[in-house]
Amino acid sequence: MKLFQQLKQLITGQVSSRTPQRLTDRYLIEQESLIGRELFGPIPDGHKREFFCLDAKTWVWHEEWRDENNAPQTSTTRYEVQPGGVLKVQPGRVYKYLDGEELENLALAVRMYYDRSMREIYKFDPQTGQPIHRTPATIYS
Amino acid sequence: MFSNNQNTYNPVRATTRGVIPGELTHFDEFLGSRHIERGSLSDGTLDLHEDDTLYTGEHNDEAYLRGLAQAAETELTVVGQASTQESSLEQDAARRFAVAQETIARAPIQLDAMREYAKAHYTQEDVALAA
Repeated sequence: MKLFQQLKQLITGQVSSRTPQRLTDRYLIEQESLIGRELFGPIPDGHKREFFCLDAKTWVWHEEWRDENNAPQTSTTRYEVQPGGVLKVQPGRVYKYLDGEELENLALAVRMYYDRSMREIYKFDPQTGQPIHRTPATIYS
Repeated sequence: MFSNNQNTYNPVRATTRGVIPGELTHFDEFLGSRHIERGSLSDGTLDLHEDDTLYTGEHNDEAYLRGLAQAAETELTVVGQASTQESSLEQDAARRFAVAQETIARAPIQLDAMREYAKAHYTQEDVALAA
Protein backbone atom coordinates (compact mmCIF):
# COMPACT_ATOMS: atom_id res chain seq x y z
CA MET A 1 0.00 0.00 0.00
CA LYS A 2 2.80 2.36 0.92
CA LEU A 3 4.66 1.53 -2.27
CA PHE A 4 1.51 2.24 -4.24
CA GLN A 5 1.15 5.62 -2.57
CA GLN A 6 4.76 6.47 -3.25
CA LEU A 7 4.40 5.48 -6.91
CA LYS A 8 1.24 7.50 -7.19
CA GLN A 9 2.99 10.50 -5.68
CA LEU A 10 5.91 10.04 -8.03
CA ILE A 11 3.70 9.79 -11.07
CA THR A 12 1.10 12.41 -10.29
CA GLY A 13 3.20 14.75 -8.21
CA GLN A 14 0.41 14.87 -5.64
CA VAL A 15 1.41 14.75 -2.00
CA SER A 16 -0.71 12.94 0.55
CA SER A 17 -2.93 15.24 2.55
CA ARG A 18 -2.08 13.37 5.73
CA THR A 19 -0.30 15.68 8.16
CA PRO A 20 1.87 13.80 10.65
CA GLN A 21 1.73 14.95 14.23
CA ARG A 22 5.10 16.04 15.47
CA LEU A 23 6.06 14.64 18.82
CA THR A 24 6.41 16.53 22.04
CA ASP A 25 8.02 15.55 25.33
CA ARG A 26 4.61 15.70 26.93
CA TYR A 27 3.14 13.21 24.51
CA LEU A 28 6.07 10.81 24.93
CA ILE A 29 5.85 11.04 28.71
CA GLU A 30 2.13 10.28 28.52
CA GLN A 31 2.88 7.19 26.47
CA GLU A 32 5.63 6.06 28.83
CA SER A 33 3.37 6.61 31.80
CA LEU A 34 0.86 4.18 30.33
CA ILE A 35 3.56 1.62 30.98
CA GLY A 36 4.74 3.16 34.25
CA ARG A 37 1.35 3.04 35.92
CA GLU A 38 1.19 -0.73 35.45
CA LEU A 39 4.44 -1.52 37.20
CA PHE A 40 3.28 -1.38 40.79
CA GLY A 41 0.40 -3.81 40.70
CA PRO A 42 -3.33 -3.28 40.38
CA ILE A 43 -4.62 0.26 40.71
CA PRO A 44 -7.45 0.44 43.28
CA ASP A 45 -10.85 1.54 42.02
CA GLY A 46 -11.12 5.30 41.95
CA HIS A 47 -7.36 5.78 41.98
CA LYS A 48 -5.36 7.41 39.25
CA ARG A 49 -1.67 6.60 39.11
CA GLU A 50 1.18 7.95 37.03
CA PHE A 51 4.79 6.89 37.16
CA PHE A 52 7.15 8.39 34.65
CA CYS A 53 10.58 9.73 33.90
CA LEU A 54 10.23 13.52 33.90
CA ASP A 55 13.68 14.43 32.59
CA ALA A 56 17.26 13.21 32.62
CA LYS A 57 17.42 13.34 36.42
CA THR A 58 13.91 12.93 37.78
CA TRP A 59 11.35 10.18 38.30
CA VAL A 60 7.81 11.02 39.38
CA TRP A 61 5.14 8.94 41.08
CA HIS A 62 1.75 10.62 41.28
CA GLU A 63 -1.48 9.25 42.75
CA GLU A 64 -4.96 10.74 42.95
CA TRP A 65 -7.95 9.32 44.81
CA ARG A 66 -10.91 10.30 46.94
CA ASP A 67 -10.99 9.69 50.67
CA GLU A 68 -13.92 8.39 52.74
CA ASN A 69 -15.50 11.86 52.62
CA ASN A 70 -15.19 11.90 48.85
CA ALA A 71 -12.63 14.66 49.09
CA PRO A 72 -9.92 14.60 46.39
CA GLN A 73 -6.49 13.55 47.61
CA THR A 74 -3.17 13.59 45.81
CA SER A 75 0.30 12.33 46.53
CA THR A 76 3.36 13.20 44.47
CA THR A 77 6.80 11.78 45.05
CA ARG A 78 9.86 12.85 43.12
CA TYR A 79 12.99 10.77 42.95
CA GLU A 80 15.89 13.00 42.03
CA VAL A 81 19.18 11.57 40.82
CA GLN A 82 21.87 13.54 42.56
CA PRO A 83 25.61 13.10 43.05
CA GLY A 84 24.84 11.95 46.59
CA GLY A 85 22.37 9.26 45.54
CA VAL A 86 18.66 9.07 44.76
CA LEU A 87 16.82 11.68 46.80
CA LYS A 88 13.18 11.00 47.65
CA VAL A 89 11.24 14.25 47.76
CA GLN A 90 7.71 14.44 49.18
CA PRO A 91 5.99 17.70 50.08
CA GLY A 92 5.83 18.20 53.81
CA ARG A 93 8.17 15.35 54.61
CA VAL A 94 11.84 15.07 55.33
CA TYR A 95 13.80 14.43 52.18
CA LYS A 96 15.92 11.32 52.28
CA TYR A 97 18.30 9.34 50.16
CA LEU A 98 16.95 5.95 49.22
CA ASP A 99 18.63 2.76 50.20
CA GLY A 100 17.78 -0.81 51.10
CA GLU A 101 14.63 -2.45 49.85
CA GLU A 102 13.03 0.81 48.75
CA LEU A 103 15.97 1.60 46.51
CA GLU A 104 15.98 -1.87 45.01
CA ASN A 105 12.22 -1.82 44.39
CA LEU A 106 12.49 1.50 42.60
CA ALA A 107 15.39 0.19 40.54
CA LEU A 108 13.32 -2.81 39.52
CA ALA A 109 10.44 -0.59 38.44
CA VAL A 110 12.83 1.69 36.55
CA ARG A 111 14.36 -1.29 34.78
CA MET A 112 10.95 -2.55 33.69
CA TYR A 113 9.86 0.93 32.65
CA TYR A 114 12.97 1.43 30.59
CA ASP A 115 12.89 -1.98 28.92
CA ARG A 116 9.21 -1.77 28.03
CA SER A 117 9.38 1.84 26.85
CA MET A 118 12.32 1.10 24.62
CA ARG A 119 10.64 -1.92 23.09
CA GLU A 120 6.99 -0.89 22.95
CA ILE A 121 7.25 2.83 22.30
CA TYR A 122 10.60 3.48 20.67
CA LYS A 123 11.03 0.05 19.05
CA PHE A 124 14.62 -0.32 20.20
CA ASP A 125 16.10 -3.36 21.86
CA PRO A 126 17.02 -2.15 25.37
CA GLN A 127 19.86 -4.62 25.68
CA THR A 128 21.59 -4.14 22.36
CA GLY A 129 20.47 -0.60 21.56
CA GLN A 130 19.62 -1.77 18.07
CA PRO A 131 16.33 -0.84 16.39
CA ILE A 132 13.65 -3.46 16.26
CA HIS A 133 12.21 -3.93 12.79
CA ARG A 134 9.77 -1.14 12.23
CA THR A 135 8.43 1.08 9.51
CA PRO A 136 8.06 4.66 10.64
CA ALA A 137 5.00 6.38 9.33
CA THR A 138 7.11 9.36 8.42
CA ILE A 139 10.79 10.12 8.50
CA TYR A 140 11.68 13.78 8.68
CA SER A 141 14.78 14.78 6.85
CA MET B 1 28.67 8.95 38.56
CA PHE B 2 28.36 5.71 40.45
CA SER B 3 31.45 3.61 40.36
CA ASN B 4 31.30 -0.04 39.43
CA ASN B 5 34.93 -0.34 40.28
CA GLN B 6 34.22 -2.76 43.05
CA ASN B 7 35.18 -6.05 41.55
CA THR B 8 38.00 -6.62 43.93
CA TYR B 9 36.63 -6.07 47.38
CA ASN B 10 39.11 -6.31 50.14
CA PRO B 11 37.32 -5.44 53.31
CA VAL B 12 39.16 -4.17 56.28
CA ARG B 13 37.40 -3.86 59.58
CA ALA B 14 38.32 -0.55 61.03
CA THR B 15 37.09 1.91 63.54
CA THR B 16 37.68 5.56 63.26
CA ARG B 17 36.43 8.95 64.23
CA GLY B 18 36.44 12.14 62.35
CA VAL B 19 36.72 13.08 58.76
CA ILE B 20 39.26 11.70 56.34
CA PRO B 21 39.96 13.97 53.42
CA GLY B 22 41.49 12.60 50.29
CA GLU B 23 41.23 12.45 46.56
CA LEU B 24 37.67 12.22 45.38
CA THR B 25 38.49 9.50 42.89
CA HIS B 26 39.37 7.19 45.71
CA PHE B 27 36.15 7.57 47.57
CA ASP B 28 34.06 5.42 45.32
CA GLU B 29 36.10 2.55 46.65
CA PHE B 30 35.14 3.35 50.18
CA LEU B 31 31.61 2.11 50.06
CA GLY B 32 31.13 0.36 53.32
CA SER B 33 28.35 -1.66 54.85
CA ARG B 34 26.74 1.56 56.00
CA HIS B 35 26.53 2.80 52.44
CA ILE B 36 28.24 6.01 53.29
CA GLU B 37 26.21 8.79 51.80
CA ARG B 38 27.84 10.01 48.65
CA GLY B 39 26.68 13.49 49.59
CA SER B 40 29.43 13.53 52.12
CA LEU B 41 31.91 12.85 49.36
CA SER B 42 31.12 15.81 47.18
CA ASP B 43 33.33 18.13 49.16
CA GLY B 44 36.19 15.67 49.13
CA THR B 45 35.76 14.33 52.62
CA LEU B 46 34.63 11.03 54.02
CA ASP B 47 32.85 11.10 57.34
CA LEU B 48 33.47 7.77 58.99
CA HIS B 49 31.61 6.37 61.94
CA GLU B 50 32.70 3.75 64.37
CA ASP B 51 32.70 0.20 63.08
CA ASP B 52 32.47 1.13 59.45
CA THR B 53 33.76 -1.58 57.22
CA LEU B 54 35.90 -0.13 54.51
CA TYR B 55 36.30 -1.71 51.14
CA THR B 56 39.52 -0.43 49.83
CA GLY B 57 39.49 -1.97 46.38
CA GLU B 58 42.84 -1.72 44.74
CA HIS B 59 44.17 0.13 47.76
CA ASN B 60 43.79 -2.84 50.00
CA ASP B 61 46.22 -2.25 52.71
CA GLU B 62 46.23 -0.84 56.13
CA ALA B 63 49.02 1.49 55.16
CA TYR B 64 46.75 3.27 52.72
CA LEU B 65 44.05 3.76 55.32
CA ARG B 66 46.55 4.75 57.94
CA GLY B 67 48.12 7.18 55.53
CA LEU B 68 44.80 8.90 54.99
CA ALA B 69 44.08 8.94 58.69
CA GLN B 70 47.50 10.27 59.50
CA ALA B 71 47.18 12.99 56.92
CA ALA B 72 43.91 13.97 58.49
CA GLU B 73 45.32 13.73 61.98
CA THR B 74 42.39 11.56 62.87
CA GLU B 75 42.20 8.35 64.78
CA LEU B 76 41.92 5.05 62.97
CA THR B 77 42.18 1.57 64.38
CA VAL B 78 42.29 -1.32 61.98
CA VAL B 79 40.87 -4.34 63.75
CA GLY B 80 41.61 -6.81 61.00
CA GLN B 81 40.05 -8.49 58.02
CA ALA B 82 36.31 -8.93 58.09
CA SER B 83 35.21 -12.54 58.22
CA THR B 84 34.64 -14.24 54.90
CA GLN B 85 30.93 -14.68 55.48
CA GLU B 86 30.52 -11.17 56.77
CA SER B 87 32.47 -9.67 53.94
CA SER B 88 30.53 -11.72 51.40
CA LEU B 89 27.19 -10.46 52.69
CA GLU B 90 28.44 -6.93 52.85
CA GLN B 91 29.94 -7.12 49.41
CA ASP B 92 26.69 -8.47 48.04
CA ALA B 93 24.70 -5.67 49.66
CA ALA B 94 27.14 -3.08 48.39
CA ARG B 95 26.96 -4.47 44.88
CA ARG B 96 23.15 -4.49 44.86
CA PHE B 97 23.15 -0.94 46.14
CA ALA B 98 25.55 0.21 43.43
CA VAL B 99 23.62 -1.59 40.68
CA ALA B 100 20.30 -0.12 41.84
CA GLN B 101 21.74 3.39 41.92
CA GLU B 102 23.24 2.93 38.51
CA THR B 103 19.95 1.68 37.05
CA ILE B 104 17.95 4.58 38.44
CA ALA B 105 20.52 7.14 37.33
CA ARG B 106 21.26 5.84 33.86
CA ALA B 107 17.77 5.09 32.56
CA PRO B 108 16.48 8.68 32.51
CA ILE B 109 19.54 9.86 30.63
CA GLN B 110 18.98 7.23 27.98
CA LEU B 111 15.26 7.90 27.83
CA ASP B 112 15.88 11.60 27.50
CA ALA B 113 18.17 10.95 24.53
CA MET B 114 15.63 8.54 23.08
CA ARG B 115 12.92 11.19 23.25
CA GLU B 116 15.08 13.63 21.35
CA TYR B 117 15.68 11.00 18.72
CA ALA B 118 11.99 10.18 18.54
CA LYS B 119 11.01 13.82 18.16
CA ALA B 120 13.37 14.12 15.23
CA HIS B 121 12.35 10.93 13.47
CA TYR B 122 8.94 9.68 14.57
CA THR B 123 5.35 10.82 14.54
CA GLN B 124 2.70 10.29 17.19
CA GLU B 125 1.40 7.42 15.14
CA ASP B 126 4.76 5.67 15.36
CA VAL B 127 4.99 5.69 19.13
CA ALA B 128 1.35 5.52 20.24
CA LEU B 129 0.54 2.69 22.59
CA ALA B 130 -2.90 1.17 22.60
CA ALA B 131 -4.63 2.73 25.60
